[in-house]
Amino acid sequence: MTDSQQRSELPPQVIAEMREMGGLRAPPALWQGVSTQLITDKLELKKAPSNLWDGVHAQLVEEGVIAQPTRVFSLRPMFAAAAALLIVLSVAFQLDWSGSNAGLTPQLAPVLSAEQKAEFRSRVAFIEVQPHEMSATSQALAAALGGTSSEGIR
Amino acid sequence: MTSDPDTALVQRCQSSVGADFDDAYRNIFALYQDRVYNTCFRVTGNANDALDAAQETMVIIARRINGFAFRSNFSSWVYRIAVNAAIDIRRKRMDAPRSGISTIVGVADGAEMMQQAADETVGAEPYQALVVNENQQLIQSALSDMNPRFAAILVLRYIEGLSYDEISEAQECSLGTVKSRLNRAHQSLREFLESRGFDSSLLT
Repeated sequence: MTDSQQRSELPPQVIAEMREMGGLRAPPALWQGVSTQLITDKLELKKAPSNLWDGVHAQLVEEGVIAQPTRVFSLRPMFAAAAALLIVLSVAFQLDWSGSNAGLTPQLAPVLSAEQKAEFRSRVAFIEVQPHEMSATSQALAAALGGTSSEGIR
Repeated sequence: MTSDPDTALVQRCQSSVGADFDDAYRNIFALYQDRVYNTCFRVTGNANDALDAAQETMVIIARRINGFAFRSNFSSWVYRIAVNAAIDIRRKRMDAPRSGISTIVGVADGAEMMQQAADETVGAEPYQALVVNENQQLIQSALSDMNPRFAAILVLRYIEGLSYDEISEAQECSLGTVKSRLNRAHQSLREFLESRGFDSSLLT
Protein backbone atom coordinates (compact mmCIF):
# COMPACT_ATOMS: atom_id res chain seq x y z
CA MET A 1 0.00 0.00 0.00
CA THR A 2 1.42 3.35 -0.97
CA ASP A 3 1.69 6.31 1.32
CA SER A 4 -1.10 8.13 -0.50
CA GLN A 5 -3.37 5.11 -0.19
CA GLN A 6 -2.60 4.87 3.50
CA ARG A 7 -3.39 8.54 3.90
CA SER A 8 -6.69 8.12 2.05
CA GLU A 9 -8.15 6.08 4.88
CA LEU A 10 -8.96 7.53 8.25
CA PRO A 11 -7.19 6.12 11.27
CA PRO A 12 -9.28 3.53 13.16
CA GLN A 13 -9.42 5.71 16.28
CA VAL A 14 -10.91 8.61 14.33
CA ILE A 15 -13.44 6.30 12.73
CA ALA A 16 -14.33 4.91 16.14
CA GLU A 17 -14.83 8.41 17.49
CA MET A 18 -17.09 9.28 14.57
CA ARG A 19 -19.18 6.16 15.04
CA GLU A 20 -19.83 7.27 18.58
CA MET A 21 -21.16 10.54 17.23
CA GLY A 22 -24.20 8.81 15.81
CA GLY A 23 -26.11 8.74 19.06
CA LEU A 24 -28.02 11.98 18.74
CA ARG A 25 -31.74 11.70 19.30
CA ALA A 26 -34.24 13.90 17.55
CA PRO A 27 -35.88 16.35 19.97
CA PRO A 28 -39.65 16.14 20.51
CA ALA A 29 -39.93 19.52 18.80
CA LEU A 30 -39.20 17.79 15.50
CA TRP A 31 -42.48 15.90 15.43
CA GLN A 32 -44.35 18.95 16.62
CA GLY A 33 -42.91 21.02 13.79
CA VAL A 34 -43.48 18.35 11.16
CA SER A 35 -47.04 17.57 12.21
CA THR A 36 -47.90 21.26 12.34
CA GLN A 37 -46.52 21.73 8.85
CA LEU A 38 -48.41 18.74 7.51
CA ILE A 39 -51.66 19.97 9.04
CA THR A 40 -51.03 23.36 7.47
CA ASP A 41 -50.44 21.61 4.15
CA LYS A 42 -53.83 19.97 4.38
CA LEU A 43 -55.48 23.28 5.13
CA GLU A 44 -53.74 24.91 2.20
CA LEU A 45 -54.70 22.13 -0.16
CA LYS A 46 -58.40 22.67 0.47
CA LYS A 47 -59.73 24.72 -2.41
CA ALA A 48 -63.06 26.46 -2.44
CA PRO A 49 -65.67 24.69 -4.57
CA SER A 50 -66.59 26.46 -7.76
CA ASN A 51 -70.18 27.03 -6.61
CA LEU A 52 -69.16 28.66 -3.35
CA TRP A 53 -69.82 32.15 -4.68
CA ASP A 54 -73.30 31.20 -5.86
CA GLY A 55 -74.30 30.16 -2.37
CA VAL A 56 -72.68 33.15 -0.69
CA HIS A 57 -74.16 35.54 -3.20
CA ALA A 58 -77.66 34.12 -2.84
CA GLN A 59 -77.39 34.41 0.91
CA LEU A 60 -76.19 38.00 0.74
CA VAL A 61 -78.97 38.93 -1.65
CA GLU A 62 -81.52 37.31 0.61
CA GLU A 63 -80.21 39.31 3.55
CA GLY A 64 -80.21 42.50 1.54
CA VAL A 65 -76.52 43.04 1.94
CA ILE A 66 -76.12 43.38 -1.80
CA ALA A 67 -78.65 44.32 -4.47
CA GLN A 68 -80.66 41.79 -6.44
CA PRO A 69 -78.91 41.32 -9.71
CA THR A 70 -80.92 41.66 -12.90
CA ARG A 71 -80.42 40.18 -16.30
CA VAL A 72 -80.10 43.66 -17.74
CA PHE A 73 -77.31 44.32 -15.31
CA SER A 74 -75.57 41.20 -16.35
CA LEU A 75 -75.83 42.17 -20.01
CA ARG A 76 -74.98 45.80 -19.47
CA PRO A 77 -71.24 45.46 -19.90
CA MET A 78 -71.70 43.85 -23.29
CA PHE A 79 -74.10 46.50 -24.47
CA ALA A 80 -71.89 49.25 -23.15
CA ALA A 81 -68.92 47.83 -25.00
CA ALA A 82 -70.89 47.52 -28.23
CA ALA A 83 -72.18 51.07 -27.94
CA ALA A 84 -68.75 52.43 -27.24
CA LEU A 85 -67.37 50.60 -30.24
CA LEU A 86 -70.14 51.95 -32.42
CA ILE A 87 -69.49 55.50 -31.27
CA VAL A 88 -65.77 55.20 -31.86
CA LEU A 89 -66.32 53.78 -35.34
CA SER A 90 -68.83 56.50 -36.18
CA VAL A 91 -66.56 59.28 -35.05
CA ALA A 92 -63.61 57.76 -36.87
CA PHE A 93 -65.63 57.36 -40.04
CA GLN A 94 -66.94 60.91 -39.80
CA LEU A 95 -63.48 62.34 -39.34
CA ASP A 96 -62.09 60.27 -42.17
CA TRP A 97 -64.96 61.18 -44.49
CA SER A 98 -64.66 64.86 -43.67
CA GLY A 99 -60.93 64.76 -44.28
CA SER A 100 -61.18 62.93 -47.56
CA ASN A 101 -63.84 65.31 -48.87
CA ALA A 102 -62.12 68.47 -47.84
CA GLY A 103 -60.89 68.92 -51.42
CA LEU A 104 -64.43 68.96 -52.81
CA THR A 105 -65.50 71.95 -50.80
CA PRO A 106 -66.33 74.69 -53.28
CA GLN A 107 -63.71 77.35 -53.23
CA LEU A 108 -63.68 80.53 -55.15
CA ALA A 109 -60.52 80.85 -57.08
CA PRO A 110 -59.56 84.31 -58.20
CA VAL A 111 -59.73 84.69 -61.91
CA LEU A 112 -56.81 86.76 -62.90
CA SER A 113 -56.86 86.95 -66.64
CA ALA A 114 -58.68 86.12 -69.88
CA GLU A 115 -56.00 83.53 -70.65
CA GLN A 116 -56.71 81.68 -67.47
CA LYS A 117 -60.41 81.74 -68.13
CA ALA A 118 -59.82 80.29 -71.59
CA GLU A 119 -57.59 77.65 -70.08
CA PHE A 120 -60.21 76.63 -67.52
CA ARG A 121 -62.94 76.55 -70.13
CA SER A 122 -60.87 74.27 -72.32
CA ARG A 123 -60.64 71.72 -69.52
CA VAL A 124 -64.29 71.27 -68.62
CA ALA A 125 -67.46 70.15 -70.30
CA PHE A 126 -70.10 72.80 -70.16
CA ILE A 127 -73.64 73.63 -70.94
CA GLU A 128 -74.81 77.00 -71.93
CA VAL A 129 -77.69 78.68 -70.18
CA GLN A 130 -79.26 82.01 -70.63
CA PRO A 131 -79.27 84.55 -67.85
CA HIS A 132 -83.02 84.55 -67.63
CA GLU A 133 -82.92 80.78 -66.97
CA MET A 134 -80.91 81.33 -63.78
CA SER A 135 -81.99 82.51 -60.40
CA ALA A 136 -80.58 85.67 -58.92
CA THR A 137 -78.38 83.66 -56.61
CA SER A 138 -77.02 81.55 -59.48
CA GLN A 139 -76.33 84.66 -61.48
CA ALA A 140 -74.44 86.18 -58.54
CA LEU A 141 -72.44 82.96 -58.08
CA ALA A 142 -71.69 82.79 -61.79
CA ALA A 143 -70.53 86.39 -61.76
CA ALA A 144 -68.28 85.62 -58.80
CA LEU A 145 -66.75 82.73 -60.72
CA GLY A 146 -66.00 84.98 -63.62
CA GLY A 147 -69.03 84.38 -65.85
CA THR A 148 -70.66 87.15 -67.76
CA SER A 149 -74.27 87.56 -68.65
CA SER A 150 -73.50 88.28 -72.25
CA GLU A 151 -71.67 84.95 -72.82
CA GLY A 152 -73.68 82.81 -70.41
CA ILE A 153 -72.27 80.46 -67.89
CA ARG A 154 -69.83 77.95 -69.17
CA MET B 1 -36.18 -2.53 -5.44
CA THR B 2 -37.69 -5.54 -3.71
CA SER B 3 -34.93 -5.96 -1.12
CA ASP B 4 -35.65 -2.59 0.44
CA PRO B 5 -36.56 -3.30 4.08
CA ASP B 6 -38.84 -0.26 4.13
CA THR B 7 -40.99 -1.37 1.21
CA ALA B 8 -43.98 -2.43 3.27
CA LEU B 9 -43.96 0.76 5.33
CA VAL B 10 -43.68 2.97 2.30
CA GLN B 11 -46.36 1.11 0.38
CA ARG B 12 -48.69 1.38 3.34
CA CYS B 13 -48.22 5.13 3.24
CA GLN B 14 -48.76 5.22 -0.49
CA SER B 15 -52.02 3.32 -0.28
CA SER B 16 -53.43 5.31 2.61
CA VAL B 17 -55.31 8.55 2.88
CA GLY B 18 -56.50 10.69 5.74
CA ALA B 19 -56.02 9.29 9.20
CA ASP B 20 -54.61 6.03 7.84
CA PHE B 21 -51.87 7.98 6.09
CA ASP B 22 -51.08 9.86 9.27
CA ASP B 23 -50.73 6.59 11.12
CA ALA B 24 -48.55 5.01 8.43
CA TYR B 25 -46.37 8.09 8.13
CA ARG B 26 -45.91 8.23 11.88
CA ASN B 27 -44.19 4.83 11.65
CA ILE B 28 -41.78 6.10 9.03
CA PHE B 29 -41.15 9.20 11.06
CA ALA B 30 -40.36 7.14 14.16
CA LEU B 31 -37.98 4.99 12.15
CA TYR B 32 -36.04 7.84 10.60
CA GLN B 33 -36.28 10.83 12.90
CA ASP B 34 -33.04 10.17 14.78
CA ARG B 35 -31.02 9.34 11.68
CA VAL B 36 -32.30 12.42 9.91
CA TYR B 37 -31.74 14.69 12.86
CA ASN B 38 -28.27 13.31 13.52
CA THR B 39 -27.25 13.75 9.89
CA CYS B 40 -28.60 17.29 9.84
CA PHE B 41 -26.89 18.16 13.11
CA ARG B 42 -23.51 16.90 11.95
CA VAL B 43 -23.70 18.74 8.66
CA THR B 44 -25.13 22.01 9.92
CA GLY B 45 -23.20 22.00 13.19
CA ASN B 46 -25.90 23.39 15.45
CA ALA B 47 -29.17 22.30 16.98
CA ASN B 48 -31.41 25.04 15.60
CA ASP B 49 -30.35 24.55 12.01
CA ALA B 50 -30.46 20.79 12.47
CA LEU B 51 -34.04 21.01 13.70
CA ASP B 52 -35.01 23.19 10.74
CA ALA B 53 -33.31 20.89 8.25
CA ALA B 54 -34.74 17.75 9.83
CA GLN B 55 -38.21 19.25 9.86
CA GLU B 56 -37.90 20.22 6.22
CA THR B 57 -36.71 16.72 5.40
CA MET B 58 -39.53 14.93 7.15
CA VAL B 59 -42.12 17.25 5.63
CA ILE B 60 -40.72 16.69 2.13
CA ILE B 61 -40.82 12.94 2.70
CA ALA B 62 -44.49 13.12 3.71
CA ARG B 63 -45.35 15.27 0.73
CA ARG B 64 -43.51 13.20 -1.85
CA ILE B 65 -43.73 9.66 -0.57
CA ASN B 66 -46.60 8.86 -2.91
CA GLY B 67 -44.26 9.49 -5.83
CA PHE B 68 -41.42 7.37 -4.48
CA ALA B 69 -40.88 4.67 -7.12
CA PHE B 70 -38.34 2.41 -5.38
CA ARG B 71 -35.63 3.17 -7.91
CA SER B 72 -33.32 3.39 -4.92
CA ASN B 73 -33.54 2.29 -1.33
CA PHE B 74 -35.98 4.38 0.62
CA SER B 75 -33.31 5.11 3.21
CA SER B 76 -30.98 6.46 0.51
CA TRP B 77 -33.76 8.76 -0.64
CA VAL B 78 -34.31 9.96 2.91
CA TYR B 79 -30.60 10.62 3.42
CA ARG B 80 -30.42 12.48 0.11
CA ILE B 81 -33.21 14.82 1.16
CA ALA B 82 -31.70 15.29 4.61
CA VAL B 83 -28.22 16.06 3.32
CA ASN B 84 -29.53 18.51 0.74
CA ALA B 85 -31.72 20.25 3.32
CA ALA B 86 -28.84 20.50 5.77
CA ILE B 87 -26.41 21.82 3.16
CA ASP B 88 -28.96 24.36 1.95
CA ILE B 89 -29.54 25.66 5.45
CA ARG B 90 -25.84 25.75 6.20
CA ARG B 91 -25.16 27.73 3.03
CA LYS B 92 -27.97 30.14 3.78
CA ARG B 93 -26.58 30.67 7.26
CA MET B 94 -23.10 31.28 5.89
CA ASP B 95 -24.46 33.74 3.34
CA ALA B 96 -26.60 35.60 5.84
CA PRO B 97 -25.04 38.63 7.53
CA ARG B 98 -24.16 37.88 11.11
CA SER B 99 -24.48 40.22 14.00
CA GLY B 100 -22.11 41.02 16.85
CA ILE B 101 -21.62 38.06 19.10
CA SER B 102 -22.21 35.32 16.58
CA THR B 103 -19.64 36.86 14.28
CA ILE B 104 -17.03 36.74 16.98
CA VAL B 105 -17.89 33.29 18.24
CA GLY B 106 -18.32 31.86 14.77
CA VAL B 107 -20.25 28.76 13.91
CA ALA B 108 -17.64 26.09 14.32
CA ASP B 109 -17.23 26.02 18.07
CA GLY B 110 -17.18 22.28 18.60
CA ALA B 111 -17.50 22.37 22.37
CA GLU B 112 -20.53 24.60 22.23
CA MET B 113 -22.18 22.48 19.59
CA MET B 114 -21.58 19.25 21.43
CA GLN B 115 -22.89 20.74 24.65
CA GLN B 116 -25.92 21.96 22.75
CA ALA B 117 -26.53 18.46 21.49
CA ALA B 118 -25.96 16.94 24.91
CA ASP B 119 -28.36 19.39 26.51
CA GLU B 120 -31.12 18.22 24.24
CA THR B 121 -30.86 14.71 25.54
CA VAL B 122 -30.90 15.57 29.24
CA GLY B 123 -34.14 14.72 30.97
CA ALA B 124 -35.67 13.42 27.78
CA GLU B 125 -35.98 9.82 28.80
CA PRO B 126 -35.30 7.39 27.22
CA TYR B 127 -32.73 9.54 25.48
CA GLN B 128 -29.24 8.57 26.39
CA ALA B 129 -26.79 11.21 27.53
CA LEU B 130 -24.08 11.77 24.98
CA VAL B 131 -20.51 10.96 25.54
CA VAL B 132 -18.88 14.22 24.64
CA ASN B 133 -15.13 14.19 24.48
CA GLU B 134 -12.51 16.50 23.13
CA ASN B 135 -11.81 14.38 20.07
CA GLN B 136 -15.44 14.37 19.04
CA GLN B 137 -15.63 18.11 19.58
CA LEU B 138 -12.69 18.55 17.25
CA ILE B 139 -14.20 16.23 14.66
CA GLN B 140 -17.46 18.17 14.79
CA SER B 141 -15.54 21.41 14.35
CA ALA B 142 -13.82 19.92 11.33
CA LEU B 143 -17.14 18.85 9.82
CA SER B 144 -18.53 22.34 10.33
CA ASP B 145 -15.43 23.91 8.85
CA MET B 146 -15.00 21.85 5.70
CA ASN B 147 -16.91 21.85 2.42
CA PRO B 148 -20.43 20.72 3.32
CA ARG B 149 -20.40 18.07 0.60
CA PHE B 150 -17.30 16.53 2.17
CA ALA B 151 -18.81 16.79 5.63
CA ALA B 152 -21.96 15.09 4.37
CA ILE B 153 -20.08 12.18 2.86
CA LEU B 154 -18.09 11.66 6.07
CA VAL B 155 -21.28 11.74 8.10
CA LEU B 156 -22.99 9.23 5.85
CA ARG B 157 -19.98 6.93 5.75
CA TYR B 158 -18.73 6.94 9.33
CA ILE B 159 -21.47 8.32 11.55
CA GLU B 160 -24.47 6.82 9.77
CA GLY B 161 -22.52 3.78 8.56
CA LEU B 162 -23.71 3.71 4.96
CA SER B 163 -21.95 1.55 2.38
CA TYR B 164 -20.35 3.07 -0.70
CA ASP B 165 -23.32 1.88 -2.76
CA GLU B 166 -25.78 3.51 -0.40
CA ILE B 167 -23.79 6.74 -0.42
CA SER B 168 -23.73 6.60 -4.20
CA GLU B 169 -27.52 6.40 -4.21
CA ALA B 170 -27.95 9.03 -1.55
CA GLN B 171 -25.61 11.47 -3.28
CA GLU B 172 -26.79 10.54 -6.78
CA CYS B 173 -23.26 10.05 -8.04
CA SER B 174 -21.05 7.21 -9.22
CA LEU B 175 -19.01 4.96 -6.96
CA GLY B 176 -15.89 6.58 -8.36
CA THR B 177 -17.13 9.98 -7.35
CA VAL B 178 -17.97 8.70 -3.88
CA LYS B 179 -14.44 7.36 -3.43
CA SER B 180 -12.89 10.50 -4.79
CA ARG B 181 -14.94 12.76 -2.54
CA LEU B 182 -14.26 10.52 0.42
CA ASN B 183 -10.52 10.72 -0.16
CA ARG B 184 -10.66 14.49 -0.29
CA ALA B 185 -12.87 14.56 2.78
CA HIS B 186 -10.38 12.36 4.64
CA GLN B 187 -7.60 14.72 3.68
CA SER B 188 -9.56 17.72 4.80
CA LEU B 189 -10.41 16.10 8.13
CA ARG B 190 -6.81 15.02 8.72
CA GLU B 191 -5.47 18.47 8.02
CA PHE B 192 -7.96 20.09 10.35
CA LEU B 193 -7.28 17.64 13.18
CA GLU B 194 -3.52 17.94 12.81
CA SER B 195 -3.71 21.71 12.87
CA ARG B 196 -5.83 21.69 16.02
CA GLY B 197 -3.62 19.40 18.08
CA PHE B 198 -5.62 16.23 17.77
CA ASP B 199 -3.76 13.41 19.50
CA SER B 200 -1.21 12.73 16.79
CA SER B 201 -0.80 9.10 17.77
CA LEU B 202 -4.40 8.56 16.69
CA LEU B 203 -3.70 9.89 13.23
CA THR B 204 -1.03 7.36 12.36
